[in-house]
Amino acid sequence: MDNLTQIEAVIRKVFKDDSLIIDAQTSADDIDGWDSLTHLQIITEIEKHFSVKFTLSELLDVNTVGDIDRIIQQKFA
Amino acid sequence: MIERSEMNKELTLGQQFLASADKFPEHDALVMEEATYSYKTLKNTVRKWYNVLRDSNCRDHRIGVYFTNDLDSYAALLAISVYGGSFVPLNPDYPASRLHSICKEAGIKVVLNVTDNDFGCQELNADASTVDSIEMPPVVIQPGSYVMFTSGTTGGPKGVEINHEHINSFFDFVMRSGKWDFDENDRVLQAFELSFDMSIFSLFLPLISGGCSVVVPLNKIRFVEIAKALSKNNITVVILVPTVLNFLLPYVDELDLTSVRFSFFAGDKLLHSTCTKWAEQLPNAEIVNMYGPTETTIASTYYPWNPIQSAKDAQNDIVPIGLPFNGVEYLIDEEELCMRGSQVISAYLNEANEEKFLNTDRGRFYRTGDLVAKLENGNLIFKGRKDHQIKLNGYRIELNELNAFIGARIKGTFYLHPDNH
Repeated sequence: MDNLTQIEAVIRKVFKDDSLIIDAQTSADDIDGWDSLTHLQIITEIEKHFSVKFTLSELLDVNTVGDIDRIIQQKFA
Repeated sequence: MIERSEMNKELTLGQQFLASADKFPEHDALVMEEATYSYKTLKNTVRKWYNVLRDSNCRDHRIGVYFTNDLDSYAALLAISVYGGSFVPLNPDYPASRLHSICKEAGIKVVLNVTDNDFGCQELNADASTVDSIEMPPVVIQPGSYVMFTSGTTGGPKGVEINHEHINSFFDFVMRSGKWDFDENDRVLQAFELSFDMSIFSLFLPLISGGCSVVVPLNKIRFVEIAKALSKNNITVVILVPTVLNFLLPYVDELDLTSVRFSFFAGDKLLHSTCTKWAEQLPNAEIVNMYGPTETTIASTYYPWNPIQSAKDAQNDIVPIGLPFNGVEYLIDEEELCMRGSQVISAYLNEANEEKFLNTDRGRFYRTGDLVAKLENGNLIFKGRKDHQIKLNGYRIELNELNAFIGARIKGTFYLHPDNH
């Protein structure tokens, strides 16, 4: 399973909505209820899922789901 | 710094901004993402909006401004104040029905900085051709400075008009009581929507001192935008709701906050444990907890946080709200905090909600609805709410307003209560 599919599963779990379609361009603006609290929950769940830790500068670079994918790939490179 | 002796206490916030602009024309006034606007630039933009009001021969006491969090929003708001009007920020995120209700309640006929509005007001907009070089004397002379709307208990928002005396008393205490020293070199974080009265603090504290207001974009992920603003703008004054601090704490050790001199919190319960972590990253800052409903003008009590004394004063980890500002007095009626004085309103718009006031031999007090206790050292501590009001990111939400709204639209029995999650 590629990273993006796994990230989609994590975001669906946070929103408790299995119908969410997530791609690399998806951002908080595309999903109702994606606010500061859910953003932190998503990052925390992704950190647990991939066993990584985002730094503040990485967090500040996240505008889309594709950015999350890119940061994870960099951590495993 | 503009000395108080140089000012007339009846000056509007906008006119005090003009005094700063004349004294510090090249200083940074506003930072918005990558753009920085000097006092000279901001004043020219204010003049554009002032001329729109003058050319339309507007004589209204209250004027709406639709805020889109850009230079024009801020300049239009300042222009209303320079013109002598009472500005009423209108939040684009509100539904048209709520904006219509706010405009009706405040008697607003004219709104700046909006096109094709669906809440029934006349629109005034500006373009470059309306700029000229005249001075900007007040045209409308009236006591109101601004109007904020808070959640009401009967299904509609409650209008609170803060007049010049209220707001000048607030800034008198904050800037000239000797508690804190602000000057033209301060850079203040502005992380609030203009419909939240804390924004008046973080916008005008710098603009009437010659300092700079660093405006955080109104993005859905607000704490990330706040972290970005904190990481690159040499902020010296942080003003936040404690809730935001909880989001920042996991990353706070990566922020360089050595430039911060003051950190003010208001709008919700502040925890001692949170302050302890925050203080580790702000070696040069004083942390202050402030408290005050909109009706008492932004904040009306203060408590300087201290790692040792606050550990003793805190109850259930909650930091006290402290002592009243000069000019504010209080009484405690069956645990409820009631306040009066130079910062406290004596009526809502249209004389609504009379039950929120308590008439005594000492005068007319505003009932805050907040339950407090007094510590042995005189500091007040928040104990809870008397009614069904909750706080969401510092905003007051009356569950009864939601109950009334839903009840008017859905048949059946239901009831929202703070204990129902």
